[in-house]
Amino acid sequence: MTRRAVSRSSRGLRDRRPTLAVFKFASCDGCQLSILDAEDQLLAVTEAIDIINFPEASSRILPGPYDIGLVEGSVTTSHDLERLLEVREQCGLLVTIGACAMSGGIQALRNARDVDELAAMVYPNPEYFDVLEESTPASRHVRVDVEIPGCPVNRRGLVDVLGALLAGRRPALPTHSVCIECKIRGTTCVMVAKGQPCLGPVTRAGCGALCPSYARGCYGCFGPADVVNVASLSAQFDTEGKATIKAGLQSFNVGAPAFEEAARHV
Amino acid sequence: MDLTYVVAMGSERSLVVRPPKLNSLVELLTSHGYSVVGPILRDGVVVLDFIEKFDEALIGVESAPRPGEYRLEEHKGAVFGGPVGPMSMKRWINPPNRIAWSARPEGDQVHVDTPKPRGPRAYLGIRPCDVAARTIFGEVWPGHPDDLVIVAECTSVGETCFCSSMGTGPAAGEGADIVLTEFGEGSVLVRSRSDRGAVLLARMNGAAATEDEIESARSRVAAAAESMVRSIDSEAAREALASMPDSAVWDSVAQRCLACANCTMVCPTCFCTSINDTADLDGVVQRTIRWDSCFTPGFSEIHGGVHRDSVAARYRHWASHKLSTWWDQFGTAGCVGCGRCITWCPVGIDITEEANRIIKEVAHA
Ligand code: SF4
Ligand code: SF4
Ligand code: SF4
Repeated sequence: MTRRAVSRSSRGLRDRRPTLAVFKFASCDGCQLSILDAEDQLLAVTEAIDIINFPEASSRILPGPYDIGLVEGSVTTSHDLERLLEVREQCGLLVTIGACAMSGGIQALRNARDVDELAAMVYPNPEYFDVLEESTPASRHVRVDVEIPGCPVNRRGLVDVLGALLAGRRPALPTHSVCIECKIRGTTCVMVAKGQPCLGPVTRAGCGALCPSYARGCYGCFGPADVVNVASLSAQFDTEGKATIKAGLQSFNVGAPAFEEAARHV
Repeated sequence: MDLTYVVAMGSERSLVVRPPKLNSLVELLTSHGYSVVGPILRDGVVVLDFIEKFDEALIGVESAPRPGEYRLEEHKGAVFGGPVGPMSMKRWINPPNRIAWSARPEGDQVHVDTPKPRGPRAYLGIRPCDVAARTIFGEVWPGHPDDLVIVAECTSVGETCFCSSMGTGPAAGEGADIVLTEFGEGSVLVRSRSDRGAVLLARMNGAAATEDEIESARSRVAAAAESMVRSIDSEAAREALASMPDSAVWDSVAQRCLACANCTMVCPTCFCTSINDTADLDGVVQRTIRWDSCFTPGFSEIHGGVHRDSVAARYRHWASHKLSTWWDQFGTAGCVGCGRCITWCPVGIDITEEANRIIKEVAHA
């Protein structure tokens, strides 16, 4: 690398170290773990941002308001809903992390079923069970500033969003297909070269084409891309392949309208 | 397996290499300061990568591309892996995600780093369509002036190939320094096409190519051209495609098209990129240049919205650009007939079929 010095006009970073809080709703904690998993960037994160409410990581919990709030998980109870409204009040910027907070998560599978019936199947005393009809994303109830997709989120994507918020630039969250990442990475297409079902062409990028790089088809954990043509995709497969495509559509992002709609036609 | 080099210089001087190994060519290139990019077998697919020796796993197998499908098949006598795999020289000339510059704070200064210029490369075993594509791509992203191209003529073709009709293969055209032609059982005829190529050839040991051998190689290439099943009337396509913006063909493609962008990623002439700036938490700023595609809505997003706001409009833009408006822009077609977009389209959308439908529509109008 050659080196050139130019004068430094502005620092880009804010004067005051912004505060951040992490809130958990109905979720598995995997996205929160992605923050801790940010390894080489974790130190930089804690230097740039004052994490003052993150029960998963520290017992030091300070009250709001917070500059940035990260929301993990979906809204499944009326208590969740009340809490989300409070969280929104307390946070300058509200960022959702992961498929649950963005589209309702795997728990949104119940949206198409009768909740009371399901509760009776699972719990011996369903009368103690208080839950909303549907598992819903945060954006259904409050204004969300940024949604980071994925199950779990990609930690580079997460750090990039934090960096973008600090620098005052737009986060670089792609909305195109996983296929573009696949080709950029130089991964062999499992659909064309091996005939495996792959949801990559209808799934939003951001994972870096993780599954195809391990020689397996994408199963849609980042949710719908900006164009979703499942009818054409699934027409390439036999009954078994179609079932795999459908199962992918009806998993972590079953609550995403584009996947929900597409699954009906497979 | 032993490979035979039959070395022909011009039409008068020729040599035969014994004991014959393609590795000696790679070594020769390396000793002349080139880093060598050539075909290798990876995950059951012929791809390009940096090589230090010739990948013998390629001998006797070749790519069998079909619409939406790629398999590897056995093929006696194949040396360079048959018709093109997914990668072309574009990947090395303009890498898919490269850093333009990065900057980081240091005291009250900002240091800007730019990548070091690279040294010369030799591209070995490149198919004729891709050599033509390099020239076309070079209008936008020129390669290194000292890069060397060693083309391998095609003696068998894939189901998705249509280079013959685009005038780029299967015989080597312009743009190569050395021409290799597979013939017989693993024998390779070697000819130079440039002064640099001739200098290298003079350093290769080999036996003279006989007239018969040269003729045998030529007739194999001619037979390959004959066996090609796909074609586009390039002249007619140039006229027709841009003149049919409202054709129902575009809507029918859009029914099947996933807008996944695989076609543009694998196309050896598609040159579009986007520029992304990122800043990490340490204040290090990076500008990257990344392959992008006219199939994404974001690509045509300007103030006020996305101006190619349907998949039909995006496919129409792409196919018309490749076969028609490219002529107005650069004076050539933007398609070399490599067939990659047909092979690597997950649903096998075929540019020859769609273009021919439009041509027919115009003819009957
Ligand atoms: S493996 Fe899947 S994601 Fe990758 S290019 Fe093929 S279809 Fe697209
Ligand atoms: S348009 Fe298709 S056939 Fe033509 S050069 Fe590009 S990938 Fe090859
Ligand atoms: S033509 Fe094929 S490869 Fe290209 S965007 Fe459409 S579906 Fe994808």
